[in-house]
Amino acid sequence: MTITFDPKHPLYIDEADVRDELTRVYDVCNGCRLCLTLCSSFPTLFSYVEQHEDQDAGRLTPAQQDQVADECFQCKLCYDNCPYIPELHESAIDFPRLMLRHAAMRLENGQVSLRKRVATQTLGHADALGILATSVSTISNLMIGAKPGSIARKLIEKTTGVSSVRLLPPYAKQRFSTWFSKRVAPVLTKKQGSVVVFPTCSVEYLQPGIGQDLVKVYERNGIECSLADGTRCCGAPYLHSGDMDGFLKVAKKQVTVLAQAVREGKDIVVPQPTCGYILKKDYVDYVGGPDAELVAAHTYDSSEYLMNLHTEKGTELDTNFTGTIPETISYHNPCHLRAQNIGLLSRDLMKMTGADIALIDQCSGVDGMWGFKAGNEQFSLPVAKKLAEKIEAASSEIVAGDCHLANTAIIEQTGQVPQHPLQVIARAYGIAGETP
Amino acid sequence: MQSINGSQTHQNLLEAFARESQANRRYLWFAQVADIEGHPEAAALFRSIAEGETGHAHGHLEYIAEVGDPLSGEPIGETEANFKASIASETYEYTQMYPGFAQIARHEGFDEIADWFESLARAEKSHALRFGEGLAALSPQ
Repeated sequence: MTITFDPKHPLYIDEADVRDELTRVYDVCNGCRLCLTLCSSFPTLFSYVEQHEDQDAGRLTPAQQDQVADECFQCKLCYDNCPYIPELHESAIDFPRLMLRHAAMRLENGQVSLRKRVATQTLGHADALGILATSVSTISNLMIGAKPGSIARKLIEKTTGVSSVRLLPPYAKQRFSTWFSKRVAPVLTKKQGSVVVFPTCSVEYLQPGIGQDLVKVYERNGIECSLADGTRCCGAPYLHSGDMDGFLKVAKKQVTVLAQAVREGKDIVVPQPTCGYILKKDYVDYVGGPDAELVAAHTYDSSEYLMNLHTEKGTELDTNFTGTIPETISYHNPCHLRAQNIGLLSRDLMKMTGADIALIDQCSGVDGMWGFKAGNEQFSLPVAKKLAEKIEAASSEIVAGDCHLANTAIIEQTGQVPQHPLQVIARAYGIAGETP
Repeated sequence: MQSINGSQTHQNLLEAFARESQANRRYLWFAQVADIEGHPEAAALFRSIAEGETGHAHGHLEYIAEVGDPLSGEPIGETEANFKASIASETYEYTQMYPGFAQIARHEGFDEIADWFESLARAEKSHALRFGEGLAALSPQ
């Protein structure tokens, strides 16, 4: 078996080599079990190994190996748990990236169902879909807003591979970039920095309100905001489905565009955790090179950038919160933000308003778009329900969360509409939200 | 040097070994937390000190080995004996310790912890099996 995470490696998609590597990794995981409660992937793996008296992971059938991989939704939480990751141990276990290698191998060898391939292509063309859907948002929202399980939703599932039973986020009437280009930018009295806002598909097409509040909060703090020509979807839907060619095509373009912005003296801020993770980690791992390193070094989560403003010498965060401040906030810490290893900066930021924050450290089971794909509901819904139970138990005045897609799962499961932390800060400054 | 068997010093070595071993694991867990919080320097410090505690634990174990394995009581020292002691301790864990712990946890209403203990019992069984293979490979019949 070969330990490689490089799609250009000659054995990256070699089935025999991938399956040998799965056996090696599954054996280490079976002996450790620290990730037992993170997702269904690990209990499934252990149950298969336990079917054999000698607990030999090499006895798993290819179908059993595939089932374990299919249940991995790239939450990355096992990175935090695992004592055997490449940085810490010679075993060099990288479960999430091995699962991506396995997905790439299966796709290349024609082992992926038509429905899943259609879903990948649909979600991968996020920009084309977003441009079309926002231009006819009334019709789009009638379709995706139809009752879960209805004929309209079943039709969508049939044609796109998107689940007919999950609540889907509606499309915006106006795209974030359109709002940005039409607005009159204020004159900054005390300029403290300059950023490119990486809009992300979620903010650009689904919830531009997050981007609008981000820009207003940043400008209030003397941060000049701009958009970079050529920024598109980060490529996550392709990567998470194992379509490495599709991902690399998108990723290389984004690295070029963003590296140019950094050379012009700008940092990059990302208000969506999955996309932030892609820019910070996956572009380095899969595209590589000095430009990818440069982009990663200058990419910040939107709360991370503000907290740096607060803690670094020579810059200052406006802490004059005179607007609406809830007494209590249940804050959902998304997996892909946790995996960025930056701490709980959205929580710390909101705490500065004086609100009491209840931390909800529980996966939503959405992770990228995995939870919205048809066929994944039986695994993703129980995870989302667990999150809902914790939010309901905390019983706070409002719910906040950085991930718009996880927030959609929260709406689905609790009926409560979460706000992005930057929206909480905007309201605390007294900045009113734009009318959608 | 006289034998430490039966002495207070042996007991002290056992306690010191347990503490240093736990210190190593605690610091590695603290390092994980520091990584998540975005403090790589703090994580590196915890990992570095954890290594030191391992050295201390090994120092204690070298003296303790004369009397026997601190966990199983079996003789330890050479690899064949070490395999046998490891099999004995893993076997105790998967046949008695974890099943017993799981039963108590379930009785006390901690189902999630009971599941965790039961899963670990199966993991320890796999460890015992691997050590058995290691022992067989060491001295083929």
